[in-house]
Amino acid sequence: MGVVKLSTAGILDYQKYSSFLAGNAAFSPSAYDLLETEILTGTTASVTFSSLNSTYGAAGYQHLQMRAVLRSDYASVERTIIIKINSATTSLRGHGLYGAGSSVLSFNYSSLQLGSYPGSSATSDAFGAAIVDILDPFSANKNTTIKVLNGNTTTPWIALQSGAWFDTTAVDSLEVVPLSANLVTGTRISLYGLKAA
Amino acid sequence: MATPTYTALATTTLTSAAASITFSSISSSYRDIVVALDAPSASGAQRMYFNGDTSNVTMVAMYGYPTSSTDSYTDTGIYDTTGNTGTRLGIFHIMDYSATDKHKTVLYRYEFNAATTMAAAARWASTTAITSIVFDKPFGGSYPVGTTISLYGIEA
Repeated sequence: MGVVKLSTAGILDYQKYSSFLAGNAAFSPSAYDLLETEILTGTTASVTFSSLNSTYGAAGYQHLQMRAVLRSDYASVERTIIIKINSATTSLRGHGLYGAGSSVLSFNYSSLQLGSYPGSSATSDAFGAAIVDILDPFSANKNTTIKVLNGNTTTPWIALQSGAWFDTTAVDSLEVVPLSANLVTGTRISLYGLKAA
Repeated sequence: MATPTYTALATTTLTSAAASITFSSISSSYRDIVVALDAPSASGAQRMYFNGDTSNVTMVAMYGYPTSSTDSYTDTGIYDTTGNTGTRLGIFHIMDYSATDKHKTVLYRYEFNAATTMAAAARWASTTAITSIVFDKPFGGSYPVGTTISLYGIEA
């Protein structure tokens, strides 16, 4: 015969709940996720994140953020590093506001710049850093816009930059490339995704 | 599988004025640390330093201020722009803070008294993992009641 009442079941140590959560916190899914990280253990010409639309666009991510510490082997104290979207070399525009320790200047380029980073002549173990926001990369009816905060004290250099790829194709790859140089050991590039509500 | 990030690690909100605020025993489990600072109006330039080391830091900043001017400068500490009285808001990104193969780079955006906006980069020339962060006022002054500083870990 089945148990009719908990109180007559012989179980003495129990807790009653009026919710199926049973005293636990409700699950709150994250909207800001680490997607991929690349940490270099040797030199390489570039770092590419690919299949982004089919993997992360399909999973509901609306924006991407790249967080990176970078250094190249260019034979100077510093070198420019750029970012390529879907390997595009045209329909690009970038501009920025930067401080080099004595005045504030602006610039513009026909590429998407991540700014200035230490080269092989820079202080050992010094890296530059960048935080790159890529907005609505998977939209098929918007050009892709990026926003960059980047700095490197060995030059010195601090910059606020933005850029656009004038193409409504969804972003499927991001490539980080130093100009005529390689990225070196210790370089770290992480990709994060932000979901829409 | 994607990993949720942005974990709240510690928050300090002052109920009495303090000359410094310290975060210690910081976990090495994250990739970056993000610090959010919100300080009510007070005097005294602010500084941030790591593991008790007030040296070995280089910084470059650019800012715009009320007279429609801009400027850029370098310094040897992670400072804000002025010791004047005013509110202070800042977001600091301490990149690869627990790495032992590189110096520690900080990117930050800072706003003073709704009148000066600043972007800066700094480097602590040490390959030691950061285990403590101190905010202080090296030239005098204190953090007032209501100052809130929060640390967040960005997932590795």
